[in-house]
Amino acid sequence: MTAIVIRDLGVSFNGRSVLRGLNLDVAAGGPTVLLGRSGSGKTTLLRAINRLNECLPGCATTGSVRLRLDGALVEAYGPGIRPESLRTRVGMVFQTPNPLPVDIAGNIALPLALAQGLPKAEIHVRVESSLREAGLWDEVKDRLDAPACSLSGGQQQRLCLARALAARPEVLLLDEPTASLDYQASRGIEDLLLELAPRYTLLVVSHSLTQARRLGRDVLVLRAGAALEAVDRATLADPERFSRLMDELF
Amino acid sequence: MADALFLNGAGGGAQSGASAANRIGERAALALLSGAAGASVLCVAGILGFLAWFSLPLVFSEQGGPGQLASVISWTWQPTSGHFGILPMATGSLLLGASALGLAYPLGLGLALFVNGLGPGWAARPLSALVRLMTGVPTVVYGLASAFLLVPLVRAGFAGTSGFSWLAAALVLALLVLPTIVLLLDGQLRLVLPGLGLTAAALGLSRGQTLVRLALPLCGPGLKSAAVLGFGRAVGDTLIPLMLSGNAAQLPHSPLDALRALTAHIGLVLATDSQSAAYGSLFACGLLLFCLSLAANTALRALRPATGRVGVRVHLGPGLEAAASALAWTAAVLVPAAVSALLGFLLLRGAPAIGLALFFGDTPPLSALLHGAPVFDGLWPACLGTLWLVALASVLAIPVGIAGGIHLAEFATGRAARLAAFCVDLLAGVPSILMGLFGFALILLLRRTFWPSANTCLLLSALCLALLVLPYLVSTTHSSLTGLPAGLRLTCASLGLSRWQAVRRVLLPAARQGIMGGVILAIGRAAEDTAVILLTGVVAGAGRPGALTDKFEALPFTIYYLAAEHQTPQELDLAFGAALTLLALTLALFALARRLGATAKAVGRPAA
Repeated sequence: MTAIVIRDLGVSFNGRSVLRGLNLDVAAGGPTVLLGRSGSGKTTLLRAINRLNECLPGCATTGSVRLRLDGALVEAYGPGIRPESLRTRVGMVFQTPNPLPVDIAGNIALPLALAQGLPKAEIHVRVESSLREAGLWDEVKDRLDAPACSLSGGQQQRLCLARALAARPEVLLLDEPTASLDYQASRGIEDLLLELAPRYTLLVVSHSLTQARRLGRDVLVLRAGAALEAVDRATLADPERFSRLMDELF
Repeated sequence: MADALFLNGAGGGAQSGASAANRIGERAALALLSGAAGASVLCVAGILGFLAWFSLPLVFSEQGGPGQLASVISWTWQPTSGHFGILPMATGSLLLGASALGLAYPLGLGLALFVNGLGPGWAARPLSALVRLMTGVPTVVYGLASAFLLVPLVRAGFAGTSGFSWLAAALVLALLVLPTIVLLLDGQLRLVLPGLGLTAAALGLSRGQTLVRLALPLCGPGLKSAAVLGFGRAVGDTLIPLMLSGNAAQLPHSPLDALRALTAHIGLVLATDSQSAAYGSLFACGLLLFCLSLAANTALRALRPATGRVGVRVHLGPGLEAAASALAWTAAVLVPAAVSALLGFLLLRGAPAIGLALFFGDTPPLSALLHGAPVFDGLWPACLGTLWLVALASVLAIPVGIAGGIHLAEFATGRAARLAAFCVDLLAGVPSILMGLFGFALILLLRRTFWPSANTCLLLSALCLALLVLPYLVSTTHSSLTGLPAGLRLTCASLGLSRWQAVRRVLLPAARQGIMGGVILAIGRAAEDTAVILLTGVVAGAGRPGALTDKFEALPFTIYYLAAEHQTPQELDLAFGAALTLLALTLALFALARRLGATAKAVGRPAA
């Protein structure tokens, strides 16, 4: 089942085109890994899905992005859609950990209270469940009121993941979620993503072929803002073809 | 290329001799720079010293008994019967400052929120431009426009009052300090929003929620700094209370009553009456103002944000966004309306007067320009006076200010550096009337010692104006240099340049634009100030200045004088023409400074 259907997507900033005529189908579950050189438009593509590009100056988006929400495909740019509520259904994890400048629990509670207006009791439940889901609960349960920036980089990134999960999204967009982490922490996040894949649609941007091989059920390569091509598993498995792809890409 | 290499090689033989000479030159340069930085310390010490010295008779009378302290700390100001109480003025200043801040702060906060996303995107740019324009409006221009637009409105609205009141002064002072508050808050928001905006948006928070719940609490110390700076500026201003508050030395019972501020009091008493018995109480006023700015400065230092991000407490109660939005829209409508009413009125009244006759009166312009023919009913002598004043103040302040800035940014370390930086900050916050009082005290001292005929004059005014603009020059030079990429200094060092060589050949040229911007800002400030020259030698009808020790005329004083003392409608037209001229001049200078990249960093100074 496809969870995201993108047709003829074009994104430009101040008249400079970043993506043009892009088509993409993302299957439910995943993870689907999106590869590409830096500057090829991976991040812009991801941000087109939760309409985050609109928060940047001079952005213009054309084409259609449809998302499967509650079982039906919904046009993200449709007239009846509030970007704010769309973003609570489509979670995002950034390249560098970006905790809000509040305490650990607040990072999860604040968006739930402000964006979704949930009651306190419900928020309380979700703080714990999402931290457990992100594998962070045992490490932070005794210091939930400590500043989030006191956590290590890997913990912060798992907190950001927990924060995204707490909103009960249907799609998770991950923009190079391990780029700023060391090997150990990266593996931790990757294992976590594989665990989450049966429950959420995961779209992961990566610039590491190794990570794509480890993580990806579907692997796609984005070339200079337009063409997407699928990489089959055989290529990923065959060392020689894999290294050729690596030379070509990076 | 080969030639250049060869020449360099040939020069190598003389290198050791040249570098010894270089080193001596370098030491001399460094000594000069640290001297310049020391000048700001001396200035602060000098101002404080003079104020304290001339306040001494309050504590000890000449006969050795107790001084007039008791008479100064009282509620009665009747100099003719020997009552010199300054408490009404101190209270007046505090009331005025607090009420102006109370009006300006919510509006300033609203505007800062409006341009950062609570208002529509298209309105942000023109509003920011308006706020920057407001920083360039001389206070005397606000004073003139308000005295003839706002005051009659107040008079008409509340029958039986003169209109010159606490209310009128507070309203205009609020307009005056508003840009200080907006620019500071806007700067803070712009610092925190980029790191926050995308994250919060990705979590489904609206722009309003991000601003009100997250960005504002993150600006915590900045919110308080804006209040302190705004209050300091409101209390330090002289011309607006002087022109609008009615100046009755009394405690006001309602906002429609007149009151007298400390700054206006100093100006009034020194400009009109010269009984030596009143001086003591004036210096007490000065000391009080100095202590106020010292307190503000100390508070600002304490509020400086700690490095590293700290957690904030977020209020989750309902309704904050709606309240903030209402405030933002109110401010976005009220402030432009008020400013355009005042400036539009000025334009309406002043524009018909603009012409050659405004400047030269009945004298043929060519004979005034080329042969120095006297001009009696035109602005030409005032323009010349302002020109002289600004040129002299620039010659005095610019080298010292830039050298001091260089020293502070590149060479100063340890305790001396902290002291100099503190003094520059403090000097920047000292009300300008105190610079005038300092000049006046200098003349008193000279008269009592080796120059009995010393009098206030053009040179003295220029010197005091130089003091006034010195901190601008130091701080813009300092921030232009420290704002350069850190890698640049390392690169210079890795290439074997000495620190002085790096500063002279690489860093200063790179920071040139910002420094020039600071220079122009300082020139604009010197051109518009009225409070300083009011006490140090400006008079009406002095004609063109002949010597440095002459009295002189100046544009801002002409505006003030004609607004208060005009005999005919034509003289009032002259005042409006002068205000328009001065406004055009300062706005052009501020626009130029902005083009050169000098930000409104030095917004903390209380104006004339």
